[in-house]
Amino acid sequence: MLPFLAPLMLAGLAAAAIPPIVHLLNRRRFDVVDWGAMQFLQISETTRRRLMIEEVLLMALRMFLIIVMVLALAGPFLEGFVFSKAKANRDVVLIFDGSYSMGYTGTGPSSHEAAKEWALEFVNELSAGDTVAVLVARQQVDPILGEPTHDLERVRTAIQKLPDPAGGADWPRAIEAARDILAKKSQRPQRDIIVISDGQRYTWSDDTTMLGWHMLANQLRDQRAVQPAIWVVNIDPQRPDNPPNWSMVPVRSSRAVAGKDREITFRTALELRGQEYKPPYKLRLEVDGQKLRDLTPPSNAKLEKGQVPFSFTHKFATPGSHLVSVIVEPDPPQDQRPPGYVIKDHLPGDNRQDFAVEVVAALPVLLVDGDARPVSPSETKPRERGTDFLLKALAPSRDPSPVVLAKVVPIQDFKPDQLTHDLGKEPGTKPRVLVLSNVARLTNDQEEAVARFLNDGGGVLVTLGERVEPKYYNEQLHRSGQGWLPARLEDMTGDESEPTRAVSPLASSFFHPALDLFREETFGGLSAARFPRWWKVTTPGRGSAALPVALLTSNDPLLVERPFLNGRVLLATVPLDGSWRTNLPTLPAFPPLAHELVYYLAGARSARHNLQPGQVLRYQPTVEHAPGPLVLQPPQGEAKKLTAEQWPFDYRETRETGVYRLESDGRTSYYVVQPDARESSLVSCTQEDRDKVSKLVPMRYENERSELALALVQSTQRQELWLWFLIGVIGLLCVEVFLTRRIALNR
Amino acid sequence: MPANSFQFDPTSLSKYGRLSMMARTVVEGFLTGIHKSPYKGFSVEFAEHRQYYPGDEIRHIDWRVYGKTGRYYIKEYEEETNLKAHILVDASGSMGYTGAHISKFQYAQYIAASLSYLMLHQLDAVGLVTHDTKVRNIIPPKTSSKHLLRLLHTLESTQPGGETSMAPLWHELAGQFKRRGMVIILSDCFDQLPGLVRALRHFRFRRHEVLLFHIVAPEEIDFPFKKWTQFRNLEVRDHKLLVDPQQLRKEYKKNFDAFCKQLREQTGRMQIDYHLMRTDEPVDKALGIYLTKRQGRR
Repeated sequence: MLPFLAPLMLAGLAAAAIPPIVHLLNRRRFDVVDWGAMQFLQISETTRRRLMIEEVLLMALRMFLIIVMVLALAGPFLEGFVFSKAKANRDVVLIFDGSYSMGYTGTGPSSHEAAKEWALEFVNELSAGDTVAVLVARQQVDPILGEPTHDLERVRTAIQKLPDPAGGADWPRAIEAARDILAKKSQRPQRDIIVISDGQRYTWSDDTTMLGWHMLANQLRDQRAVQPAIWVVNIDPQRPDNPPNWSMVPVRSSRAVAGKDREITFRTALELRGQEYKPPYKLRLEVDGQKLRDLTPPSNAKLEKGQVPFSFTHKFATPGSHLVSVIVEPDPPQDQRPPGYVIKDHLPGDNRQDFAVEVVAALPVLLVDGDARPVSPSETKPRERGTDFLLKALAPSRDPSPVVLAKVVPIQDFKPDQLTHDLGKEPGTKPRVLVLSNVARLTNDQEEAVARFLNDGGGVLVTLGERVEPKYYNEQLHRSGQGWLPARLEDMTGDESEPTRAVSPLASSFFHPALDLFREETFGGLSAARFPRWWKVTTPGRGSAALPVALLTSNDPLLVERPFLNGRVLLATVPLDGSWRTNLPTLPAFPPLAHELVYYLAGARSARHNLQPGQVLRYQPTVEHAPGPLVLQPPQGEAKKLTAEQWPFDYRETRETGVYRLESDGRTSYYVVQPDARESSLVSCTQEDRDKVSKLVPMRYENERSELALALVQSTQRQELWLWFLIGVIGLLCVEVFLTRRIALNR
Repeated sequence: MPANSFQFDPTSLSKYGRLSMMARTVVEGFLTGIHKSPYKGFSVEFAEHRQYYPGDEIRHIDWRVYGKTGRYYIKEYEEETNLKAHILVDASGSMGYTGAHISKFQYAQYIAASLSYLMLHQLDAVGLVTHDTKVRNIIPPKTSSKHLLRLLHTLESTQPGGETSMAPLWHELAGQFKRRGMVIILSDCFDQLPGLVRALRHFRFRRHEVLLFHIVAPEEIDFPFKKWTQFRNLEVRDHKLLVDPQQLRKEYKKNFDAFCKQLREQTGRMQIDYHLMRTDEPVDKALGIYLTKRQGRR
């Protein structure tokens, strides 16, 4: 079948039915005349046959005319060398592998440099009139030259200035983006996508990527546009199948928000491939881009799934945004290497991991106490409240510099603006966490304020108790799973007069990060808590965002969590005070539990500092100041001067992985776009892997540029035929006019 | 009242007064335009006086007038006719065709009525035959003035319908019209030409003078239809033909013109006065033709 540049136009072939339809319509819409001279209407058989032939001929001619016109518009072409009289122009999209595996130097200069050199020579061989677009395949496709250009010098410059490899690559999306560019911008039948990669298996034919190829193949099946030829060049064919490599596993911290001068633990691991573990030459810790100290790598550790995990602690002396970086140097510098030294690592791009952490002087927490009884004149000293337990646990009065700035307000004094104003005298102490302790119900204003607070990234801890009105909670706050309350309240259960039948937290259910400390059953630990009475709740079930994150021994939920808008909500089904004769506040685990819960809830906003590629970078100043100029330093290239017109300020160009440093009003905020750690696996594609992909999305693997150039010329020479079809249309039009006039003259 | 019927108010006439009124209007209007009637002769009925000129027969001088005026005047009398005319009106279905003008049958009615009026006015005997394939009405020729009412009544009560096959009928009528006279045929002649010609020849064989008014509608001549059209036969029920008239026009006109040409030629050879009458032409044209013919007869 004849291929077409714009096969969608073939739908116009339906227009060929117009002449017969018009004929039939004319036959259906006729006049009726009572006629006497019938004998003169009787025509001879010869004449009748002649008229019919004329009519059929004319109709067929008109139909053919429409068909040829539609075919001309659909852009027919023929493929094959014999049809080309000269070297035809082509539209090319070059896709460079932008993942950090392209930084591999085991076989000479880095694959990235080799790819640039290959591409420059390829561009030199292109003809005047050819167009080139340049993409970099990363976790998000980076359009270096998003539109095909004839200016080959511009292409060369773009290739020379390609950003250094970093992060991973999403090949199916990159190919899809290239196809989109060609489909929208190219009018030529000669369309080529040249993939310049290092032949790595991961991101090409691993299971996740294969899903992407399947989806792309499905799209291709539905599209009838001219399919560009896809050529895959392995720029580093000499690379061993599984070269040795060292890499760092992404850093994680116990808390997303750290307290000033408080020790915080970071966990990471060294990952090794193709070799046994020997301590690296150096393991460096940097904070805010400054070398802090060398970490002591584990010695003689055994690999666990190819990894050597380790942790380190650090205290931040100043509040604000901080960057923690861990860099491994497996090999000594070249001048310090002994003769015959075998290099352990040829891929430096994965030897560093960054993590952004937020440090606060004291975490502002607003505790709302549900005891709404009016203070009587006979009360001479402040009434003891349930929230006092939490207050003492979070900010003990004898602690001169507590890590939590807590304030208690009775429910009747809880005003919406308390959530948007500083708790203390210091600026930047707006509540990060709200605790609703045994609150019967909220007013409408309070309800709306809590929803706004969550939308701003706040955390809410709801503790249940005697006063809680289940009907109100279910109808107004839970709303069958539509509200922010994670679970539906059923009824209070247990009997506080029977402490022997009390339930305890189930330690084996503690997988939540806030409960990391309590996994081990220790004396005085969380699992030693007794709850003679508790609330039975039901969660919406599978598919819901709300999940029980800790259970009681009765298998009822102890804690239910739900992310809501930009914030987090935790629901405790037991009171976090001394009511119902629980022993929880007396346990040594209670203060750490209170701290862990509020710090976890405060981390909703901080999580936005460690992003995935393409995720929006959102900056919200902790200390209020007018929107204005900002300076953003991306991972590569020069700093960008930006202007915020309002808070929060959103920045969307986060394709590159690495550290983004944003400065505003003299404060620095760090954001880390996390690279794909699996890119460190340098296992090469096998022929089977390549075939698997090319079976789904037709492509040819060709490593030699000269052979590729020849194959390009031989296989994709196409001759456009629209001009011939157009001439045919004009010819048919002339014949139609002639025939019509002749018939009309005969009548 | 039918749409195409004559529009004069008939109240002053009898109930058959429509055709009568029309005929009188047409004929008198026609005669008013003639300054000197060439049809006056010396018959039993006085017509008028005129001055004597040498060469006039003396016996025609009115001596009474001479006695009164002392001048010679000649008495002129209307000629007593011995003409018997038969008007044959085709009332077949095809005559019912109505295009942009009145139907062919109505046109034939007007001509027949006008001729009857005129002929009776001139004391010619007029008879009438209306027919399709069969004779519907036959009225023998008479000269009485009351005869006109009968003729008009018959004309007016006739509706077109039925098939046309005139040849056998005309043969039959030619046999019935014993005495030599004039046969005036008002028909569209939509029949097989050879049979038609044979029938006309039969009239001529009987030494009748034949005046053939071939009545056609302009649409039948010009065939002006453009859109696809279903032609329903006026004579044969359920006979329909769906055609593209633009395709057929040339062929139709060729057929029609050939028919008219042959008819004219054949009638010419038989010394039959053939006149193609279009329904968009004035009826009095037929009267002129008749009078010319009548004069030639004298």
